[in-house]
Amino acid sequence: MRIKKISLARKLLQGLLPLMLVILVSGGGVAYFVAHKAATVAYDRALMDSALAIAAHIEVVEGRLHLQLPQVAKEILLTDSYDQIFYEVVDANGETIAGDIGLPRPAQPFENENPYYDGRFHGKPVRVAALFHEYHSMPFTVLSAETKLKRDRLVSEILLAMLIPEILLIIAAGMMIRRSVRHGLASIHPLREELVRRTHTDLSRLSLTDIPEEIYPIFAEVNELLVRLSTALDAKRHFVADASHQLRTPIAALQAEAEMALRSADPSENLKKIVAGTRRITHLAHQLLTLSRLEPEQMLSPKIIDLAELTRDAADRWMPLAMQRNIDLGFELSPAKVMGDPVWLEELANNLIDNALRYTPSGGVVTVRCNSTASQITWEVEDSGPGIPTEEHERIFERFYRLDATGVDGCGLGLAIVREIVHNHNASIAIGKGANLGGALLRVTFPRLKIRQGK
Amino acid sequence: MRLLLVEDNHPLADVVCRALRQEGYVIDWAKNSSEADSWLLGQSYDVVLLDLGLPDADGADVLRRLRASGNRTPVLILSAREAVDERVRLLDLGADDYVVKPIALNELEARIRSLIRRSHGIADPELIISALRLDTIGHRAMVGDRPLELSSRELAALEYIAVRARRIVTKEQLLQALYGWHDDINSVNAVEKVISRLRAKLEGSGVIIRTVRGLGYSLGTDEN
Repeated sequence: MRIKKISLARKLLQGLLPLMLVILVSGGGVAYFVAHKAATVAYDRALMDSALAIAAHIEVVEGRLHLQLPQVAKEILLTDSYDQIFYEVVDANGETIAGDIGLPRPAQPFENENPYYDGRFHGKPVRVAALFHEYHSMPFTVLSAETKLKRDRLVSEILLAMLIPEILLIIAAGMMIRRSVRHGLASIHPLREELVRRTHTDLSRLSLTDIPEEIYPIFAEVNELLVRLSTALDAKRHFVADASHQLRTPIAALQAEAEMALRSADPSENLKKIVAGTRRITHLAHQLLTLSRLEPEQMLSPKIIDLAELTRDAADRWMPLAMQRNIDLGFELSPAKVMGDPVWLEELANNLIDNALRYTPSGGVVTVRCNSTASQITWEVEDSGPGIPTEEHERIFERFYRLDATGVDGCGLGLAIVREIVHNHNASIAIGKGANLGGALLRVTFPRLKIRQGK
Repeated sequence: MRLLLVEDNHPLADVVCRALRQEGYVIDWAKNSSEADSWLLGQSYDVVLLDLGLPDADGADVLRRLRASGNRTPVLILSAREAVDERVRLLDLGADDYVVKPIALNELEARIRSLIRRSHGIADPELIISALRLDTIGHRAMVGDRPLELSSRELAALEYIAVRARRIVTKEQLLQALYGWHDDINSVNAVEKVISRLRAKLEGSGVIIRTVRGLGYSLGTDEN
């Protein structure tokens, strides 16, 4: 599986950049509007001043309007370091009296006294101020125009002055984000080094000082996992230690018996005991292995199992012990379908029945039943033995626990195995007093199958 | 010599009892701590063999109660637990020896003999009293170069009295040391018969078993 890594800094930038660009663009728009307006107002007034100055030089010559603009005034009015200045004086009929012919005329009718407007002159964009005036009751219009170089320049200067800090801010923010993320995550580097140094046996908690709040929960969970892991490992270790103790005692008996055989002139009795001892150790080893394979959360491979069928099919294997112990082993089976693992369910039955056969005195009765009711499925083993004292009901399921003073030689794991299998099947087990046989009754109760499948 | 075996595993207890009886010991078996407590209350033992993983309690509790009651009987721990901490714990609680299962019978027997010697302040496994040489390992008695023909019970009685030389041994003590609960003969009378046979066989060895009237016996030499 390929691991796709994501960069926190990139994520943050991806989230922030579009927003910042929107702010930048709209800020730019507003700045442009403001700058343009400021430049227009300032320069328009100057343009109108020029028009007024020109109007002051209108005279009447031979009954007609005439512009008498002295050279000095012309130079002052029509010279500019950036822009070309144009003017035109037009009479009431629209005839040019003086100046540059063909400047854009104001639109008729005029909304206000002295309009300003944009237009083109000789292919260049120009700004025009129109001044309506009259001289000796003869109306005329002075058009004063200039190219827009200095206006554009001012707009772009204002725009730049406003936008450059914003752009710098975005760049700085980007850099700060990268740096902050790195810096913030730098505090987990010691944690990483600690993990690298650790061996598989060290399952102590990580020390979570100086961990950023945002990622703290992850490491807190890691710590919880470590605790669970170490609990599970401790249980395993305990089990292995227990198992080795439990194997030592029967092995000690075997060794002593073998030594006795060597000392004896007729070792046949000792040899019989050695064979029996070996059988017990084999049984113990089997039970230990079974128990170690029953991990608490291990998923079984469940299918629909009819307990009646399963019990019937496995009945053969219990007969030898029943016959040897002279016990009447009987079955009362009606169909009882549960969801379960057939191998483990058989192991469960083995242990329950083996237990009953061992603890029931010779000549007794053991009955295995399974039943299905509207709400649950039961599987029970009842015997005519001495029963299990109430105070032992809890402890009897503990590993290596055996009922004291019964003289029965079991290894004390059967019911521990039963409990694990029951647990893994979401079932429950109860100990009671058998109503029919008067001995112990061990009843396993399964939840009823939710969905009826198959036949 | 009387031993108490505290062990819950039947096959192991069975074989250890048989082995030690063959060696001439009288041995009682307790299969849990409460049985052990009651045996220890009613009997005096030369050595207690104590398993730790008992069904009703930890064997260490038996040891603790024994020592708390002032009983100084040697205790040999016979355990499946091999951890050093556990050995240290038990030795500090007053155990005299600690062996881990499985153990060879020879070694177990040797350790029992060693505990018995130590409890009587004897370092040498061979007891020499006057012309009597008593081999506590090979279970043989010699007078000079002549082996003494003794029954196992006579030998056990001689060993019991010899390790307590010059101290008084009561008939009841001897009875306990020589006969188990399951033995048919179980009276002071039987002890007296054993002692009188022993006296006859010890003739000429320089060792005499004196009767302390009203109390029991004491072993000494004919010089004093």
